[in-house]
Amino acid sequence: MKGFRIWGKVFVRASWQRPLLLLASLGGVAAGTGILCALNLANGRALRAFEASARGLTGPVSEASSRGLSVQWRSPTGKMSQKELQACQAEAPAGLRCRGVVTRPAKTREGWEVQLVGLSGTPELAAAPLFSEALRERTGRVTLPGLSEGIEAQGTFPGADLAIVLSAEEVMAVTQEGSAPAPGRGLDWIEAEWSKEDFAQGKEAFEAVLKRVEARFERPINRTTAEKVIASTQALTATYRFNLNVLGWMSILVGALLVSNVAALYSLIKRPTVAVLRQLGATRGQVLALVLGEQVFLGLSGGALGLALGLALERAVSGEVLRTLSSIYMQRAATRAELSPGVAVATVLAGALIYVVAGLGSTWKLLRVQPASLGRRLLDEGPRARLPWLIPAICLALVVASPAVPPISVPFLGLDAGAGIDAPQPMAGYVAALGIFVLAFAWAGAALGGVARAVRWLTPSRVASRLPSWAVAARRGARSGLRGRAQVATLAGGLSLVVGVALMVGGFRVSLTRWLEAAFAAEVVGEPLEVHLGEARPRLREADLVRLRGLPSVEGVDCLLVGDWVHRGRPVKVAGIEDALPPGRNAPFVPWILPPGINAADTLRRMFKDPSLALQSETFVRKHGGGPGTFIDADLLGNGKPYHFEIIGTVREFSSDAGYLLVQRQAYAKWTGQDGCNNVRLYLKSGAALDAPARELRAIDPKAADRVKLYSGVELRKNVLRTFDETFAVTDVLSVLAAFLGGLSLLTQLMQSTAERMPEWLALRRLGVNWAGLLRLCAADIGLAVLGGVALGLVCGGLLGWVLCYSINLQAFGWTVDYGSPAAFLRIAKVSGIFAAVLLALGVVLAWGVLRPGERWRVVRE
Amino acid sequence: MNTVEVRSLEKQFGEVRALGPVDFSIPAGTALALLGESGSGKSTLLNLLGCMEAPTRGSVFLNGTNTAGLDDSALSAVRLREVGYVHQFFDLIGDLTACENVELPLWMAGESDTREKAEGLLKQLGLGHRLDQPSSVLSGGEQQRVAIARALVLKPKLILADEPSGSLDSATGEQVMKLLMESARSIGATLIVATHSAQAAALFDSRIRLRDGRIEELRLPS
Repeated sequence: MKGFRIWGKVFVRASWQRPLLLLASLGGVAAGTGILCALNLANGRALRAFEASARGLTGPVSEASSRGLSVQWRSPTGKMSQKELQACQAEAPAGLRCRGVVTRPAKTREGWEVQLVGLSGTPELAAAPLFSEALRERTGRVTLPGLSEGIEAQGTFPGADLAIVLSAEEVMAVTQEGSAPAPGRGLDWIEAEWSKEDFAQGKEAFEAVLKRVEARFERPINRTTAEKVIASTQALTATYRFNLNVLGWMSILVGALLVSNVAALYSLIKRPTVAVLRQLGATRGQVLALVLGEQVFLGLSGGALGLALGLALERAVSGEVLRTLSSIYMQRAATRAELSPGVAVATVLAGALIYVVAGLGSTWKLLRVQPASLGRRLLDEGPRARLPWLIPAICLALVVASPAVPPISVPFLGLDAGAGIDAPQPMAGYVAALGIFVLAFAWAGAALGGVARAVRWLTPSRVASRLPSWAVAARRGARSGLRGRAQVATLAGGLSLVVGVALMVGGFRVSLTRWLEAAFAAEVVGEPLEVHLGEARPRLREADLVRLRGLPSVEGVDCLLVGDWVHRGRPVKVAGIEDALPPGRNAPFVPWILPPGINAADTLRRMFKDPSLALQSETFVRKHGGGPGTFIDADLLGNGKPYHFEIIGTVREFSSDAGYLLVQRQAYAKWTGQDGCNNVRLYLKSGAALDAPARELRAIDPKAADRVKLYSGVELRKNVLRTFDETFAVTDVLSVLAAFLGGLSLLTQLMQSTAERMPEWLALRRLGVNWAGLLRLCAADIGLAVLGGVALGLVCGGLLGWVLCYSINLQAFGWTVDYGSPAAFLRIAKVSGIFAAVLLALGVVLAWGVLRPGERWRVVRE
Repeated sequence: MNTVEVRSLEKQFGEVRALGPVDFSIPAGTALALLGESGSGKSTLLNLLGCMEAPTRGSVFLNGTNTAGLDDSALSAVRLREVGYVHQFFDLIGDLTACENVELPLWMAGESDTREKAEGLLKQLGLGHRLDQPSSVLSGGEQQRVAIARALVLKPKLILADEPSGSLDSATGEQVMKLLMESARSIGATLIVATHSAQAAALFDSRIRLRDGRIEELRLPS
């Protein structure tokens, strides 16, 4: 009790009497834990979206399903057909209950974001539309775009998500996958379960029926269960989760730098108190209990704030990002975030842990306070490191070596599961990324000293009279860089996150733009809507292609065939391309790694003449090896008769991380038996309107016009880039986080200056410096820290971007982007300029806020 | 003409009266010792004379200007141009060199040739070999000489020194005190030195002795 009173009255009061410092320490913990919490919530949301996407109809597990008497059939390459559903339904008399499932996210006209579950060939449709219980609680009627009438709930099914069960055709109409329902349209999967009640004896009979159904399928179809699909998506999201968590831990590291800074300041303030307690007989153990008690308390409070911040962040940003991601990669809308008790407790405890660990150095200093040290106020910098270059050298070595270290499997991280993902992770890249933050701290003193020396050089004695604040700050900073290094390191750490990610995202955007301009250079893009039986994706009839080529407004039509196949046990895409471009038009795939002495155009010409030549994408090279001049035996059909290709070049490709093999269209058709175009690009005659091909086709053959959707290539490129920007909107959060941490670090710098430099400022006041002059001096000090932090942040961010591009991204996905494109650097220059300006302005405001209360000066003077 | 004129000057901190009321005038060029026990009000009086604090009542006239009605900026300008201050603990900026510490008021005043002026003054005070040393590495006597140079560099009319030899050994303290008097005389400034030391006080012809915030003894040149 007595100890508690001492803790409260003697020790904690010093903290509570400094609200700005308290805010900085809580803010540092909250920022770090908040980001981690938000990422965890986003992970959970994404995982549940994947699970829901795999399960289809939410609700209680049927008895047949719980006894393992239910399966799903999914095409390894895309959709299931109505014919395959009919093959399943043919076994209804034998006890098999079948239904086809389509799931799509949609937004109702009332604003509800719902999941549409479309069923085909099942008696449940008689009771449809069914609303999930969660949706029914909110409304009994919704209006969906694409359907002429509103939908009234006829019944409900269990589920916490907002979902509606309709017919598959209605769902496709809503999501505009065709102007009218048609029987040939693809299903996401077919579900089948045992309808008889002889569960104990039914297994063998069930298996026999399944085999009969599969014998009727005309192509290889995967048999799986919802549980297996969920397990594989969990494995897939494990990588995603791990990558996001690395980002989260980097945020924690930056937050911890700030906390370490604040803890150092607390130790400075509390040193006299500790000295008095030691004089009065307190043991080191008692001092440790006092310090740890406060750190744990502040850490827990910061963690609780972080929890609230995490929830807000997740709602504000992750929801938008995940919605975009889910619309691209999943068939299921991202559900709402759910905060589990585990995540809540872990977030709060992480706050305490961060505080205690980040404050270890300061705690150690307080424990070393001797009773005789009463009155010594200056920070003890401790002995200088014997080998100051050693840690930066190790960090730089890690950065440089990271691309050369192969990815490593880390079993305890739970990333080594199937689903076609590569279990090894770019661990060296992650370690190098963390090393960059250590580097930021190691170089912070030098950065501040360097900037100060530069400003000192710019303000020699003859100029100093015009800029006295900068002259004094520069001369002081040049000799005391180490004292401000924690603030500079925090600024640099935050900025390097922004710069590193901006470099990568900027480079990615430039690469993507270039690729889009090459791959979709045509004025009009055509997307076939008709799925043919047994095929993976919609394709165009040959007659329709001939019609398109004959349209008056069209100069030429380029056809692309794409198929999903498996090569050496890993998914791969194969494309068939043809020499159908009008003169003067560039090919959609541009080879960029070529044998010496041959250019891209000649390479393509060679390939169009010789069906045994092929191009690879760089992802393909990364995964399967090879390169120009090598040979590949591709046994895609798995019949032991591989097709033999000579590789003559490598192309850039950003639409898939499976890897591409590009061959002649005729070779592809001969090899796979598939010849319909999966994508067409229409090159228009000079002066033709963008909507002319669609009008002309409808006039010639309205049914053919229904089978192909034509839209502007510019629109397509714009939409892809918009989606990209939305997906990477998370980088803006990083900028906000960096500015927030930067502001807090400035605050602590000011507090530290106030505590440490009070005698100096008093001397300046005696010399005749007025409040404004002192404020200018303070702003100049902050300006130096901002300049040092921004300079170091740019360097560390450049290194981080390099590691992200050439180590982490390359090893994780098999392809990488152009690093350091002019656009990315322009973006970074803009971000850094805004960052520095905001922080400087904030610094001046903070300086004003701290320096205004004149009472403090008087108290110190007395 | 009087450099300093004090009329009914009082200073209170809450309920505690630290000084006054006191009245006196100090002619220009006087060197005066301010004596008294601890808590007698010496530092408070110096702070009021140096425009570092506002009086509770009364007025301080410096070179004929009443400082009571001035705002912070005007008071700061008075401190910069009219008053030089030497503190017991030197008040130097440790990270600046000896020369830069002396240049500091010149920079603030927007003067030119700051380096030359500071260097010249420090050489006069025997610190020519320490010009570019950080002030924190100088000895106590050297630091106090730098502080004196800084107080003199703008040639103020009034120099205030609060226990300038308090942190020094007696020999160095005496040297510093003599240096201060000579320097003040050389620029025609009025010097007021607060001290406990009878030995130091003996160097001055004029003196004010305070007891409990009031003047107990006042000896000024006639």
